[in-house]
Amino acid sequence: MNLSRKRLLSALKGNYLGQLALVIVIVLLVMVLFAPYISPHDPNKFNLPERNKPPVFLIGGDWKYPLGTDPHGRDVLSRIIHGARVSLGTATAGVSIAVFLGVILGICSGYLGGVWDSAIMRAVDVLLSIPLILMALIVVAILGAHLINIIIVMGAAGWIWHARIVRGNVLRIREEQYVLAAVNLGTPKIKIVFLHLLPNLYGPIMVTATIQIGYMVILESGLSFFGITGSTLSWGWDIAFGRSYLGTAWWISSFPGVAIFLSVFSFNLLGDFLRDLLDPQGRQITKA
Amino acid sequence: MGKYLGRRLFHSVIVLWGAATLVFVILHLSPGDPAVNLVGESATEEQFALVRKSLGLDQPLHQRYLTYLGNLIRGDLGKSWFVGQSTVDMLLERLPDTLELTITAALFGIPIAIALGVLSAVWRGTYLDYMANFSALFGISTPNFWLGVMLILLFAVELRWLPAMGRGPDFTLVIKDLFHGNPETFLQWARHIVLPAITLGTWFMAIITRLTRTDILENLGRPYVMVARAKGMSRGGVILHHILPNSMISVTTIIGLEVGALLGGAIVTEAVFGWPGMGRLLIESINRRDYPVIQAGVLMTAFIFVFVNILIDLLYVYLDPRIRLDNKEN
Repeated sequence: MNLSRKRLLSALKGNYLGQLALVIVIVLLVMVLFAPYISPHDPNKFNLPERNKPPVFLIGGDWKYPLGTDPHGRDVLSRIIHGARVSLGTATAGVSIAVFLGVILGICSGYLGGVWDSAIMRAVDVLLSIPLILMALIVVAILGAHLINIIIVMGAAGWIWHARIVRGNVLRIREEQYVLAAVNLGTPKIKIVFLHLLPNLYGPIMVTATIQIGYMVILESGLSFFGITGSTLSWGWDIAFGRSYLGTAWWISSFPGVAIFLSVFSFNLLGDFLRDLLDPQGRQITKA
Repeated sequence: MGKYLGRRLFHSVIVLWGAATLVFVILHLSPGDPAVNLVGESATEEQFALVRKSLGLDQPLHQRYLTYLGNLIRGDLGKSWFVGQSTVDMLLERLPDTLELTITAALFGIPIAIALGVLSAVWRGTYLDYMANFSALFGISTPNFWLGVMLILLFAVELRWLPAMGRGPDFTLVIKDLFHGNPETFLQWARHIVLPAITLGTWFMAIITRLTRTDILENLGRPYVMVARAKGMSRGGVILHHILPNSMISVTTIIGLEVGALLGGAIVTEAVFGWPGMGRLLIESINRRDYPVIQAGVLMTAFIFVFVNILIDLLYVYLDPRIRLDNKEN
């Protein structure tokens, strides 16, 4: 089923949760794109006289630091705004690679079948059997703490989500009358893939990709929480850092977590919204 | 059955071989020399060469791989480079703690999840349904390490009801004392495990709640449901007696698929709560590049995953008498 812009807008009209998700995603996008312009302070600047300031709604807080400051006097809000770049940036890049690999391997598996199918599905089983966080910890710790390594793990392990969904859909679509007709007319395989398979896969892939971005945000924050990503300006790192100050300055750990929660929550909501739109009968086209 | 099991075991061996190979490749193709971590940067070139030789690192890659596989087949998972102890012993020493945490989390999560899923399907569209949906969405959107920190903040730092770190008495001791009519040890144990178990179980619970609800709702339009309804059975009765047993198949499938994620969550949870399990050993080993322990640890998690999934396949036969494993494709 196709997703036209008109259908998307009309479905969004009555769906408040979908609207909420879209608003949060847009706010996050603004944070990622314009972080230096909209953040009130330098996220890395030490300002010891202003350290451990509580957020604005507590006694002693003021609007200069709406979410308070940490023990070095750094502004929590500015750090959250800049942290969005790391978390969402790596997640989006990782998911893009995962989708690319997943679509290719899923089509190979479902359409070519045979040895291709067995080999790719066994690879899926292998990747399923190793926890993603463990794999990512090993790769990042051993290969080096670069964001690019995190993106590679996300892509190299995340493709299995999409491959399974693509495979299931391809198995279904290739038995449809119009595809069988095209095959009988002698249409080359590659043309069938581009003309008949891919257009039918956009929808399901959009759903899984949206939900996977949320999942990968959690993964990136988890790695930063362990302090192995090499980035100290990340939501996960701030949560880990603030753990030592839970008794005196709870806001350091709490607010970055709220930021993670809100972003993952909105991507999940958006994914659910797209799924309901594409698959109102729950016909499982978006399920592996 | 026997034929099926044979095929299934063969398949499992392939998965384990794949996992072992994957980790081997990641570890041994990485830049950087693990010998540096062992003897320190100030060591002389001769010392490096000696360490490399003793660990077999001076051999070409394919040689190392074949040696590794050969040892694996003989059941030898190697010795830790740092402690010198057998990796299997090190892991088995920590495994009970991880299993204790994981199983407690699952036992807390699964029943609540199924109950919530059923309730929200029975009362679809009511506030109860919205609440259940929302809490499930909350569960899958909350990173477990943050949830853990927030639970510590609330229950350990602010309210001072529960301990923030560590584990309580040994489980065998708990059972023994309970047997002797002494609940104090059990309470001590429970006070330590409740926060980590909630931290680990929440995401798991949320996934299963959503699946149970969707699966039940998908079944509502099926002919067997209409027959039961036409005979005058109530909606709730049909769900409980006819649909739920069918849905258990999907629920157990997802439990099997998420075992890996659950073990991954345990690694994170152990780090947050200072829980002395396998996850902490793995993190320590990753940090000091103790390759044999990392390899054995990954293999053990993969083994648990494969093992649980075989158990679940066998469980299908009991859950749904129509399933005959030998006739099943795949």
